[in-house]
Amino acid sequence: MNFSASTYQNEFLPADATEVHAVVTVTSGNGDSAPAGAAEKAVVLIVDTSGSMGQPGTKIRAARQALAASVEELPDGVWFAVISGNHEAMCVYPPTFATGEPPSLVRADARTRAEAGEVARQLRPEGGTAIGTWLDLARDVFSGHPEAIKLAYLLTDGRNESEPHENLEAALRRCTGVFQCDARGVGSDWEVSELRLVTSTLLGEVDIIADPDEMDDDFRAFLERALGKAVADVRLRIWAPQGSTVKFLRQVAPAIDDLTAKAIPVNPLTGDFPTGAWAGDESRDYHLSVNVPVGKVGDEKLAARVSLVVDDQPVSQALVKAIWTDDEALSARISPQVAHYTGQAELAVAIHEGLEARKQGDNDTATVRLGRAVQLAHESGNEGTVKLLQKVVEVDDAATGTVRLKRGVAAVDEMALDTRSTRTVRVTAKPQDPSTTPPTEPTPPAPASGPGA
Amino acid sequence: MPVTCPNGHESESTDYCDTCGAVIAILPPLPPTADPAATAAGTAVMPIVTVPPGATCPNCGAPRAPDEVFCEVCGLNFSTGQLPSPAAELAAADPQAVTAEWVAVVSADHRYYESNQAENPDDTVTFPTDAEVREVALTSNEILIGRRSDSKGIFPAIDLSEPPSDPGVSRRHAILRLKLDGWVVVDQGSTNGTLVRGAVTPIKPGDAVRLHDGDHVHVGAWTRITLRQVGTPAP
Repeated sequence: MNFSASTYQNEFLPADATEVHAVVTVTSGNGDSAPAGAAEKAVVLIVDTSGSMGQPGTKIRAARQALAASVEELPDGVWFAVISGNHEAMCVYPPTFATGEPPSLVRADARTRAEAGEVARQLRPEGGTAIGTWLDLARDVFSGHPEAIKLAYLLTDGRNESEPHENLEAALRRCTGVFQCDARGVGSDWEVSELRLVTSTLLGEVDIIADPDEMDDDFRAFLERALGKAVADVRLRIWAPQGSTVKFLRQVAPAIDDLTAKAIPVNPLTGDFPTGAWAGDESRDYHLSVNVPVGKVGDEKLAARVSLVVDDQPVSQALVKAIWTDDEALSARISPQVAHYTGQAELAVAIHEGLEARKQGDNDTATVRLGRAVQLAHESGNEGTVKLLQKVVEVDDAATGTVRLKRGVAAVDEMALDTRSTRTVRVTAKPQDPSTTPPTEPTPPAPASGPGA
Repeated sequence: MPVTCPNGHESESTDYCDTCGAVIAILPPLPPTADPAATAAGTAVMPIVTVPPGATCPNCGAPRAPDEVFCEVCGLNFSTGQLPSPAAELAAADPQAVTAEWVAVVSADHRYYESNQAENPDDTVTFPTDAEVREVALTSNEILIGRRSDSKGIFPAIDLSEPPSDPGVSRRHAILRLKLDGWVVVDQGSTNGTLVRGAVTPIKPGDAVRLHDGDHVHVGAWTRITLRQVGTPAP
């Protein structure tokens, strides 16, 4: 597995400017040395079995079916466990209540797959919902495998109503850095902000399953993603010069996620930002903003050194620079990548604020904000978000953001828009920007003829 | 090993300062006349660095008075950007100084070869299993690393066209240069770059990177060159 990092920025700043912006694209590739799939993998499937999953019964039936089908397809050697969650959590497979052993993972083989499938088909809905207890149990189950790539999948249909919110926050603090977790909300009686808190903290994705029939495919897609991961813990290490501050670091593609608060200090000028496990063919974009001490016209300074760190070893790096100039033609340019992702971030905020205003009954604000969202999504070619917006507003003119709120919008449509508002598209064609830094990979040893050859 | 930035900070990074992010001034390249082969072959000769008055020395970072012609610490000529010739200095100080007290140990490094394999999908470059470790005594203050070419008049002191002949090395690949305070390596604009102390990023062509006893320099498809001090300096 190898990584490369490239910087997109306009490094020229007007005199007196201190704010530096850059987009760093990180791409992974399968090298020959460490084939994908070499690392040990562990998955924990957490299924809500609260009473509401039985109302209507299609939810629990779909969950049983999807869970059984996916465990029965696990490849040999994958470590796994199934947790049934309501107001408390129980590891239903491998079963521990009978033996009194501490909860643990089990290796997939013909016997364990069949047994787990059998257990999945017998799950019964009763009781409440306490997601914090589910996560704490998952952490215990994973604890015997510190080196494995650890991914959990959490499915719920309701609000976290059987424990105080602080319990969920405390459980998330305990689980941070131990495992990653995706979360799915079934139907429309769950809280987007609750599941987003889970996935944002545990480096996962949140999504809606509007129709229980989609569950089967979604479980399968999760396992495919999980088993494709090849490196467990990749970090962005950001150095910024003395006297500067990292204003923000956001993942901006494939979805927006603010990483600023996740910094783990390495030394006074350097912090690590965990990005979780990577597959061998991924590409993610990050938007970094740093405030640096002002320089004199003509000065060049390094504003940030962004290194990719695997097992505490830097494997690639990208440089973010600042050059002060009095040539406005140079400093006025905005990097197309920085502009694009600034727009995508504004789009997510506009959707969030528009939906909030609508909930509060403030239709004027909702119309303005969702109109702005339509305009931004349209301009940037984010067709997925345009479609989701069209279920909530009538679009009269996308270019100017002229919209009318729809009446009688289905709750699931509104929640789908809310959940997926952070998904971004990339700049359609990356122009040859002179500020582009080539990947900092070692130069290939082609049979060479150097200068003078 | 640490270098000093224009603002006087010690920095492990040799491109930008670890503390303030300032550009670490590159050392002046050889004057054009010293490198006729490269010039003839069309290699761009870097311009001589000139220093505005009132700054610090771009070579060693020492403060300078506006009327100084030479840096008091390292001897850089501010108007030409040239350092005093180490050979002349050393010869004047002690004729025995430039002797075979340092050697370059040349070997084939399988791990480095492996790390390059992503770029060698067709196995066109095969790792030499029978390569012998050899030592080249550093008897001059400037040692060319490269591949010999009789027709072009290139005779590197560390000749990597000798068996097992590393195909990833450029004819004029890099130079080991003895300075007053030790050895540096300067990539000569090679095709595949020069890596120092196991770094994944090649050093910038033209930059003088400090080397110390035991440091590794990697070039080509598999070659590792280790700098070693084999005796104590002559008294």
